[in-house]
Amino acid sequence: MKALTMTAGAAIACLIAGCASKPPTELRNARAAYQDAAMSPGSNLAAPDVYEAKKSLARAEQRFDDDGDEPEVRDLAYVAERKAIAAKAKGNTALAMQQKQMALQDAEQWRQQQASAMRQQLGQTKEQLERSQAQVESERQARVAAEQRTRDAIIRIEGLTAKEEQRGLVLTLNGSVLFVSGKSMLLPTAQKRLDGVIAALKDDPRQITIVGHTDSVGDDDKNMQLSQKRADAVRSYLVTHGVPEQRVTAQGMGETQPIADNKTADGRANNRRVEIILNSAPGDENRPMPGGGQSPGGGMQQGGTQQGGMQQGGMQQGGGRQQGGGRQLQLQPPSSNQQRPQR
Amino acid sequence: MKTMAWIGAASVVLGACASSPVPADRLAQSQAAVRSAQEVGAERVPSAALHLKVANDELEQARKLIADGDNKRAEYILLRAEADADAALNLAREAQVRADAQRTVEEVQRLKNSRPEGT
Repeated sequence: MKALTMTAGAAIACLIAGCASKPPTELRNARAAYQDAAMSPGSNLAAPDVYEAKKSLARAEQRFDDDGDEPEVRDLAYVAERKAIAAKAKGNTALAMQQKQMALQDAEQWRQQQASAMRQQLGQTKEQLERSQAQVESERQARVAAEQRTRDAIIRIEGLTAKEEQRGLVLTLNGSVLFVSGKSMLLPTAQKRLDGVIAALKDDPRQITIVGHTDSVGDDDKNMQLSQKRADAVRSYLVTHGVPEQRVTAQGMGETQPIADNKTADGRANNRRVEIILNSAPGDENRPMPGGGQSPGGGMQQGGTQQGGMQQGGMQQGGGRQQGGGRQLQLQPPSSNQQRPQR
Repeated sequence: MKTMAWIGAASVVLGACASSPVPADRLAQSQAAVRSAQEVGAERVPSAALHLKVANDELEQARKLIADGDNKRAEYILLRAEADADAALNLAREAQVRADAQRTVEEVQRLKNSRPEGT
C-alpha cells in the first residue's frame, strides 16, 4: 500500500515537475529497431510500413513523454519494435522479389541473344550454301557449254563419226583412213583428221581414251597387238601436238568388240577402226543423251551400227551445218549407200 | 484519510479498468493474425517461430486477464500478440521469398554457363 502510494506520488510529481524518467528497455529496443528498418536496403520498397512503424514509435514516445515509464508505454514500445521488425522484413521481401525479376529478365535477354546469334549463323550458312550452289551450277553450265562447242567443232571434221554413249562422246575413225592395212604407222592423211580432232578438243576438259579395234581376220594375239600399237600411235600424235599426256590413254581391244558382221567385207571394214572417247564427267554417266537437236535427220543420237552419228542426209536437210563451199561432209562410214571410195 | 487518499490514488493509477468492455474484436483480430502466421509456415522459420510462440503465449495471457476481468490489460496484451503474429508472418514470408529468389538467380547462372553466348 505504501509502495503504491509512493509510486503514484512519484508519477504525479514527475508530471508536475516535467522530469524525464529513464526510458524503458522496450522503448530503447523500439528506437533501435526503427533505425534498423529505416536504413535497411529494402526500406524504399516498404515505405508505407516503415511509416507505420514510425508512427507507432512516436505514439510510444509521446506516451513516455506524457506519463513516464508506465506499463502502457512499455506495451506501445513493444508493439512499435515489432512493427519495425515487420517493416524491415517486408522491405527485404520486396527486394528479393525484385532480384528474382531481374534474374528472369536477364535469362530472357540471354535467350534472345542466343536466338539472334543462331539466326545470324543460320543466315550466314544459308548464304554460303547459296554461293557454293551457284558456283556448282556455273561450273556445270561451263562444262555443258564446252561440250557443246566440242560437238559443234566435231561436226565440221571430215571422215569422223560421233556418237554420244553412256561412256562418253565416241569419235570413230575408220582404220583405213588412218593406217596402211596391217600396219600401225599413221598415214599422212590421218594427220589432217587428227589435227581437226585436236583443235576441236582443245578447250574440252574431259579425259580422252583411244581404243584400237580390228576385224576378225588373222591371229587373235596379233590383232590385239596391232590394235594396241595403232591406239598408241594416235595417242603419240595427240601428245606431240599439244594434248597433255596425262589427259589421254590408249588401249587395244583387238577383234573383241566388233560393231559389224565380220563375214562381209563392209562389216570387216567397219570393225577396223579407232575410237577416240571423251569420257563422261563423273556423275554424268546417267545423264540423258542429248536430243536430236542438230538436224531433222536425227542429229548425233543414232541407234544402228551402220548409222553411228551425224547423217550426211540430215546435214543437208538442216542446211545450216553445211560449209560454204558446198563441201560434202563425209560423216558416214564408207560402206553406206553413199558409195564414196575408201581411202 | 490516508486510506481515502490511497483509494483515490489507486483509482487514478488503475484508471477505470473495471468499466472497460471485453476486447472481443481485438481478441478475434489477434487470433486471426496468429492463424495467418501459422498458415504461412512461420514455425519453419526460426526467427518467425520465436515471435509466433510469444504471440500464442500472449493470447493465452490475454484470455486469463479477460477471465479475471482485467479487460484493459488484456487489450494491451492483445496488441502485443497481434504485433508478434504480424512480425512472425512477415519474417516467414521474407525467408521464403528470399530462398525462391536465390534459387532463380542460381538457375539463371547455370543456364548461362551451360552454353556460352555466340556458340
